[in-house]
Amino acid sequence: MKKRLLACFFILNLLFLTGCWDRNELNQLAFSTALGFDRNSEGDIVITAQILNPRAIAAQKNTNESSVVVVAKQGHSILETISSMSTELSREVVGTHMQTIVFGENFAKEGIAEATDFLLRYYQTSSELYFTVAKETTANEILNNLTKLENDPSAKINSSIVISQDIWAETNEIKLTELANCLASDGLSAVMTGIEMQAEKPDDSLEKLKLTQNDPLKLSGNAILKEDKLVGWLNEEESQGYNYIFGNASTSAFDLQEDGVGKVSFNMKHITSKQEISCEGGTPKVTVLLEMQATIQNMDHSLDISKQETLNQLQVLAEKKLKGICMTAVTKAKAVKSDIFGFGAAIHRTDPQQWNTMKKDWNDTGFVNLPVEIEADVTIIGTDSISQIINAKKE
Amino acid sequence: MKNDYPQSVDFKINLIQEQLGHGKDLSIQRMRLHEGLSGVLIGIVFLSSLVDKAKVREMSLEINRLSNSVKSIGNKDEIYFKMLQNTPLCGSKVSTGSDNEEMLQQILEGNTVILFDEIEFFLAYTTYGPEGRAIQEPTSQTVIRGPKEGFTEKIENNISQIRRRIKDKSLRVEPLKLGTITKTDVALLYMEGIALESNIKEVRKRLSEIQIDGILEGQNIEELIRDDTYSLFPTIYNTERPDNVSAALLEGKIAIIVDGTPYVLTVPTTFIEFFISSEDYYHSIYDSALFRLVRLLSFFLTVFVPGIYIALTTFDQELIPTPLLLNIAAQREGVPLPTFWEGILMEVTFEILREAGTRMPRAIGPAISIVGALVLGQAAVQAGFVSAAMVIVVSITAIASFCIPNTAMADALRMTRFIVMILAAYMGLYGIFICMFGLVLHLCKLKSIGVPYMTPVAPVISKKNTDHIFRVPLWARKKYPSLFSKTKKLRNHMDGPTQKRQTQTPERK
Repeated sequence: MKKRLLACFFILNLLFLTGCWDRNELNQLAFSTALGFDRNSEGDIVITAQILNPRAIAAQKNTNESSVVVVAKQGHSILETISSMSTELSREVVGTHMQTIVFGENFAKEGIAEATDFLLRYYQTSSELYFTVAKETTANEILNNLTKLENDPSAKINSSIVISQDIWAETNEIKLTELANCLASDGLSAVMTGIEMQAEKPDDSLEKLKLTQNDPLKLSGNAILKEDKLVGWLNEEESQGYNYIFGNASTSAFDLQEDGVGKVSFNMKHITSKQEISCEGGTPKVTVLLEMQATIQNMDHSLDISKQETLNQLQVLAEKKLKGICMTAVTKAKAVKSDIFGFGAAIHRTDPQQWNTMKKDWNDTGFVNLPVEIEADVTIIGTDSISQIINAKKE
Repeated sequence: MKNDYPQSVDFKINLIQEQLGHGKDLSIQRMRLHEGLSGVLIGIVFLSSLVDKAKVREMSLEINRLSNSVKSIGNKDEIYFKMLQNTPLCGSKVSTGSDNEEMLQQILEGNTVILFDEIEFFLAYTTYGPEGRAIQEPTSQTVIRGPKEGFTEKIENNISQIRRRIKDKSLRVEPLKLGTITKTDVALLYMEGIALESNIKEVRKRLSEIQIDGILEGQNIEELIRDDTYSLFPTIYNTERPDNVSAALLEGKIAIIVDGTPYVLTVPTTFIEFFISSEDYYHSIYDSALFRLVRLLSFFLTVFVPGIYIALTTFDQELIPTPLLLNIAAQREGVPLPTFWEGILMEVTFEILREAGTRMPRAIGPAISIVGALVLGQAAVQAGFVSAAMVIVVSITAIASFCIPNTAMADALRMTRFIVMILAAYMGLYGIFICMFGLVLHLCKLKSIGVPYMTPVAPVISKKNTDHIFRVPLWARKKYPSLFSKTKKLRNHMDGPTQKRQTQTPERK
């Protein structure tokens, strides 16, 4: 009995001695969902944290409070800066629900390796982080906005990235592990969705925001990184080309404007992309095979699409246009000398020995001189709910 | 005086009166018989509070009639005694005895004792027939489909309900008397040839070793014979339903019926039995599987939900999806108590409400529910003392705890819940997992009359396991559960439900 009591005493002691130090009540924590990195003119890091205000977001009744609280601090290192935010907040900033990372354009130009290292290392951040680069502005500016539809701006940015990539193939969803892979790899450069201010920022007040119709934030193009530094931007068409080649796109919309067929819109589905490397005489050559299915969504000429010849004609035209779109992306990437398509990595996989000789200066010489051929295969599988144009008699 | 010698009726009557303290309900009738037996004096003694009065009245009439028919012969007393001894009056059982203590005991058990002059023996007729409750619907284990009869407080009644269901010669009903003062009637029921002999011996041995002044309810016996005395979990099953006990007997379990309580104990039991309602067998196998899964889910909910809520909100916020987290966080704003104390406060409040609901007079029931629901639920949230999320958590645990068909198990789980909450508050999810390990180890360690509590999960009995979370159709349940029965007999000899081999298509007209 004595022994048992003693054992109980020790077990109870264990209870009192462990664990508790980690305990935090929800109302002692400030959950930050978006973090912005900037560099000021002195070269210091400026970190902007967007902190959710649960009272305003989830409350049943309307409040006059803003749904997010933005805190910006500058300092020499990242953790130091985040910790110093406690001087401005009554609560501890925690990153367990961090979702969006915005790099200011200047910060990105000087390299994002330090920030990525921190995010990978820090125990609070998960790998489910979405990365964006502020185009022609600072992360601070971007995060100092309230958004429409969503109370939580980072939720808006994230879902916008995902949805847009899915149905429009412009943005690029890149998460922490993928970004880290790109930074570590010689033959693959990172591409991050760009984010810009829609127009002049409406006003600071919530009331004014309610009056404006536009969301202040807009995703726009993609930032091209070389190693960890921003080197250029892909515009809308180039971004689509990139997503087709890289295999990010699964559905997209696509227009054709040609003599003889007029304007035809396609809905692209089941887009697949395959990179094929062939070596002829020691010089590698890349062939990108694109396959997709399309349905006609819109026509303005009376085409007889019940005939296979017409469809073939449309398919050839679509393939041609698609090749063009893809080539713009390749041209842009070659211009900024950054292998965003992972051609280098593909060569590495198919021919590691050859890759060893090429990987030095791959981006600057190898990639720029790499012959790239796009082969597109569009199959028109249907015309959706109607076949003939509705006002055919007009022609 | 002539009347003072020890074998006279008056002497015995005086003795009885003295010993029983001239009780108000002690009824003594002196009867001097006439006609052929004139001169014979007999005494009829019984406790009016215990006997069936109609029976006693009829009995004295019958004695009268009998004595009238007898003509005088030899020693009147002797002959008359012999005659009565061999005549069952009103169909009662007759026993004889000479010991005074035994005579008193017979009176106290509600029997009618007939005393004779000159003869040291007495006759005792069973006339026990106190007023009792009629058979009613069980209050603690209700069913939608199935018999609505429950046990009552009278042991004869309860045995009869089982006899009525099992009309087989192998049903054994062993009588016992437990409690040195209460001398409570206890019956041990089992099916000879089905129940495991070692189990019967074990139960018999444990019961015979009980030495206590009083047994008033089955729980008294349960406490005295159970294994693992200090465990929270019940290791003896109790039920108010005769169909439940009959099914247990058919499986080879042993039932203990105690006089004075409608709850009957069955042993050995297993953990899963507390999550099985007899109704499961009166619904289709799919229904019963659903019911049991719901009950096991309720078991999990009632034990772990408050603990998990505390652990997630105070330690592992990253595991809560952001929108839900914000929702909870918004509710937490301005709540003065830490989550753990908020939870304890609400759980204790619920326990108080529940206890009040059980104890209070029936008439003021609605008042409690109004106070409970409105004041404690709504007002506490509106006043900001507790968060709405916590009220939801406590409600779901409370409702889940009512899903468990057996109250003994439900009570055990409610107490486990507090342990989980405390550990969760100290160590978060880690604490909850410690609790789970502890719970599993503890449950695996328990035994019920030597049978492991967690069978057939631990130890695994996979092949013969026909009735656990899922029960197989009756025709597929061939073997007896090996833990309760070793018999080679099969429960049925069917390969499937009896069907018409050829279905007849109705003729088209």
